[in-house]
Amino acid sequence: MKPQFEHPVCDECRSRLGNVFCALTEVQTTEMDAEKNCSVYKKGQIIFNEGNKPSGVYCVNKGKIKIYQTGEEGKEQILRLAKEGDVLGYRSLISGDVYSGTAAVMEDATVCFISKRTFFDFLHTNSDLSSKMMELLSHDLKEAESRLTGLAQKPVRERMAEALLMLHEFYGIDTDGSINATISREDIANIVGTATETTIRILSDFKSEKLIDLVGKKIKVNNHPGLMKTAHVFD
Amino acid sequence: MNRNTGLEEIIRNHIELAHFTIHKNDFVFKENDPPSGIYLINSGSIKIFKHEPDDQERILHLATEGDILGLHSVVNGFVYTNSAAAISDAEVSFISAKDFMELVNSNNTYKLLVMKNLCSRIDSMEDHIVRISEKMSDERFADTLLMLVDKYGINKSKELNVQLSIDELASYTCTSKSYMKKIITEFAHRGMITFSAGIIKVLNLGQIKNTAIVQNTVTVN
Repeated sequence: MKPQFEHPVCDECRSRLGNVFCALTEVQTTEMDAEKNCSVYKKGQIIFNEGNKPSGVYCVNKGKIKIYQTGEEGKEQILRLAKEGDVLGYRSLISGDVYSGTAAVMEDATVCFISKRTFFDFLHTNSDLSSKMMELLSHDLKEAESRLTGLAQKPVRERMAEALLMLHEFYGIDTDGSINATISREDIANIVGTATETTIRILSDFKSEKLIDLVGKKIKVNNHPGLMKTAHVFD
Repeated sequence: MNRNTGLEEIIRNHIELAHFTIHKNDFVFKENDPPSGIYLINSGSIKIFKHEPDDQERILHLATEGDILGLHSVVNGFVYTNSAAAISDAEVSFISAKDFMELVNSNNTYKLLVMKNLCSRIDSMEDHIVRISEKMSDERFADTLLMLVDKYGINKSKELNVQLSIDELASYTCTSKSYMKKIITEFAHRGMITFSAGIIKVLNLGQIKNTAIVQNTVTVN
């Protein structure tokens, strides 16, 4: 018999804690529960494609997702990463544009889809939710600004250190102390905005400087202050 | 660049607006200042920039008539995350953070307009991020020129309706000042532009458009 996939229940979804949908009333949460569709995505699967029209938002219950734009030469530039509790695709929905990026799964994920109609219903009737969305977008803009500043000026070695610190903070650490995400070298290159070969070279430099440890695909930050120094992060 | 989201009109209709003239090179607000309010540009141009750790300016955005400044800082109540300074004399209207938030909170539709405005700013910021990692400096400078033509337009003698220093052009294009000079000379040599005393004459828009397209697969570190 085919194993039954269990739909995550919003009310019991720990991932929801801290995201914008916390602002929903009990009735709205029940409504969302009844309306939403959840799917399991395997590594490499696409959740939505750049250039497509959005029909709703996605709420990540589990897993790790990258959002990237494909350049004119076909190279990916990763713009954001998402994990459980994050909501995806709201920007295109609000601006009425097509998706500006593609969302693809880096580690197997369970993602719930909430239709455009339901999302806008909530947004229009729940002022807590609309305030939270405003704050979320303000935060996104701030992040994009600092990303641009870092990318524009820092040499690739500093950007690599910064990216590792970001991954460390964003995903937390595993029981063995390594970053709690398996991210390919190519993905790391696309976060930093450099070539894969350069990424491999710098990672092995960092390893010989004992800043990090490489265990298979996983990365362990050994010397956090050292990495901060390399990244020239002062605050 | 300047997508009117309707927010502009709502701010304009507010009673408690103050009006200022910001002279060239003067600051509208500075990075890390507490966000006192939101500025709406009525005329002139203003550069939005951040300071790099080595104190260089990184221009994020050039704002002009109809643009709203300081929005995300006021909404989140953190400090201004960037600085704004006039690159030509500018007229602005000001609404205090408190008045603005009261206005926005009075109506959910207004919040949607704020969201739309923020979305378009994030979109243009991300486009910029992709450009930097993907394009060579000369391709990016061609992009800068196209953006300037689109935003400010050119007059009868083909001059851009805005004046920027080499430093500012380099800052927006994300390249060094010396390399910026080299690219400008190269563009002038190829008959695309002339540049003297801050005035850019756009001679061959078609060729600039061609230059803006990624030419070959080279990854710049």
